[in-house]
Amino acid sequence: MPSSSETSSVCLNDILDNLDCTDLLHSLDGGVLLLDAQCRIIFCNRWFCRHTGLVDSNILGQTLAQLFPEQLPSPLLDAVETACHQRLGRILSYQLHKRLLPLRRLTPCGELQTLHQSILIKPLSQSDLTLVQCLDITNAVKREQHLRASERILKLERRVLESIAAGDPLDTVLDEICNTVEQLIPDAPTAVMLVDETHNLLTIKSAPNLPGAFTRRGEEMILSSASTTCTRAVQLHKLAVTANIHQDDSWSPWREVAQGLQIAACWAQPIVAAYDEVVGVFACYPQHTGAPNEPERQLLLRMAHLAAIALERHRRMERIRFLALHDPLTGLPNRSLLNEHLGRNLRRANRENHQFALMFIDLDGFKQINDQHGHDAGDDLLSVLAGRMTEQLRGTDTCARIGGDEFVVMLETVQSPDGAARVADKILKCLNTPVQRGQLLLQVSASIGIALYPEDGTSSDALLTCADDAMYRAKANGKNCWYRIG
Amino acid sequence: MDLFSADEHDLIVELMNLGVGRAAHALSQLVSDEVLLSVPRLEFISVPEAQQAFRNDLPPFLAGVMQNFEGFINGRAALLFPEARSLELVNAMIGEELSADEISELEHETLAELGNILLNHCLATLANQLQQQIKTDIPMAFSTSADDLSGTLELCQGDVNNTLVMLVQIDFSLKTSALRGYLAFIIDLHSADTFVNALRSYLAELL
Repeated sequence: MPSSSETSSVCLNDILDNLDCTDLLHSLDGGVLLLDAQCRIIFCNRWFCRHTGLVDSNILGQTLAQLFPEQLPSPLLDAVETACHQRLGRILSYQLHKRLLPLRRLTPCGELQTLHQSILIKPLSQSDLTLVQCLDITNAVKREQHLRASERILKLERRVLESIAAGDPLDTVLDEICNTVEQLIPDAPTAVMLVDETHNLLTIKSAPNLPGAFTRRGEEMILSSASTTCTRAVQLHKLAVTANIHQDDSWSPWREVAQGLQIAACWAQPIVAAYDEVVGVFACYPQHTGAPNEPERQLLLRMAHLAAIALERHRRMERIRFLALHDPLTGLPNRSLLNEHLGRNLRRANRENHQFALMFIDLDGFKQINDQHGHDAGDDLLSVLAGRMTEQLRGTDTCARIGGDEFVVMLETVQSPDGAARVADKILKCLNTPVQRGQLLLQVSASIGIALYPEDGTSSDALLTCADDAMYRAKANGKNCWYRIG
Repeated sequence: MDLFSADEHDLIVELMNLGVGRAAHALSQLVSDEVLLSVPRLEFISVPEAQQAFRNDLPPFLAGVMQNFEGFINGRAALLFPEARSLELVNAMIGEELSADEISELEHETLAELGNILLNHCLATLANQLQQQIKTDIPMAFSTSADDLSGTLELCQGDVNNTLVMLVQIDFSLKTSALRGYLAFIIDLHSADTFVNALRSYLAELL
């Protein structure tokens, strides 16, 4: 008795013997041609007719070269001939032959679309016929293109992220972001603009490929006034598109500059940081009119997100740097920053041959305030007095807190000892003025020691020691006064 | 293996060089870049020797193209590359920047055509020069390890004692890259007589 597999193979053979090969070839999803030794088509399946728009009576008996005169690339004709005449099998791949047979298909939208194809040419054994198979690889090509495009973006994105992680300067990172987008959206220069909260302005921070004439316009973009594409992006928290700047009145002030650069449109993507705060705008200025397509929208969104990461990191670094060099209570520079400023000023004074003054300031009676009213009161008093002292100084002078109730003031330049004395008097007065805290009036005074460069010392240490000694002399002289040794 | 005399061996090397030269010309036209090919070494070995050579001489992971042939000699021919570099070759040929880490469907197909052109030219040149006939099937691209290569090439499928392997080193140089590949021709020895006779009559005509 035959086994079940033998039975089924017998059945299969029966079926195969009775199979209509022609029918089988017609039902294949791909083009099939049979050529004779003279390259003439002796069979074509329905797929081939459907995708060429020809009927088989027109096809049969013809060679491919006769069927599509002047239309076929020579590698295809050569391959067909070597297969039919010399019996050599061939494959023609899409990547090496972007154009092979003129095959088309109807898309669901009713358009005729050229097929991406590859072709297999196989000389059949036991006959002198040659089999030509056309494979529709349109979908594979689409997938591949999509994959390559995504990979390209990922690679560029990674470069920006590495630059951020490596701590490159903010300008470098933002330029890199602009350059990245310009590689992926050609003929569209870009810019990163930052929101300047104090002045309610949008200012250009990075625009590596836009000329100054264009970037300066940013200074005029006041957020609260008439809306431009970029200010709209800030206000609406979403992509703002001006598809044609020549039809947008808000662009009229810059139309001429834009025309010179062949800019036709503006796409502005807000840069959104933590807590949904818009910190800037990523602007793209294509040289063709129109709105961004979906991949371009995605790219703008991703790049704006990268810019947000870079900006937030930059802010955090600035904050860390500030904390390292400032007193957290008063916001004044600390001893490290004072030393930095002092060292720089010493070199400059030496080079430019000018005088400057250092004042060592110690509060009188501060300990009693702390003891009587608590540390909170003492802290509040210090903050107010720090603010008052700063008000007496020029922007280039330095007032540092270097201990509990000890401050050092550096006057960047003084013309004479009298100049320093006048500032000391003003400081004494502002420190001695009572401070209102709720119901309380808190009052202290100060003792100030003055040292002048170069008379009282020519190094940081010498000047600080001299000012410190002078401060003790002021204390000894009854406090609420200044003293200079020398 | 001493199947061929020194003269016959030299003749085969010469014909192979002629074949790869023609393939290089065809490839250069296709990719509009200069492709140079040369054959630094050619040897005839037995199946066990081939298995040994695959393990010793070839990189651990291979990409390749295989094609059956029949006519005055019968067998299978394969072009083999280090897998990682085959992608580089395809990308250099189509002039695109290397992107995907893995070889894709389309790249497999392109590699198949490169192998197809090369193998067809080698086999056709051999046949034409010796005034013989040969027929080749369509190529098939594959990826395999050096250990599994014997299986992929169906090296031991037929009569091992009657199978001969011609292993050919082949150097590719393109403008942007250069790499070494291998051609392996697995020849059914039942057809070797015709091969030897064809070589002998060719040499006899030269004298």
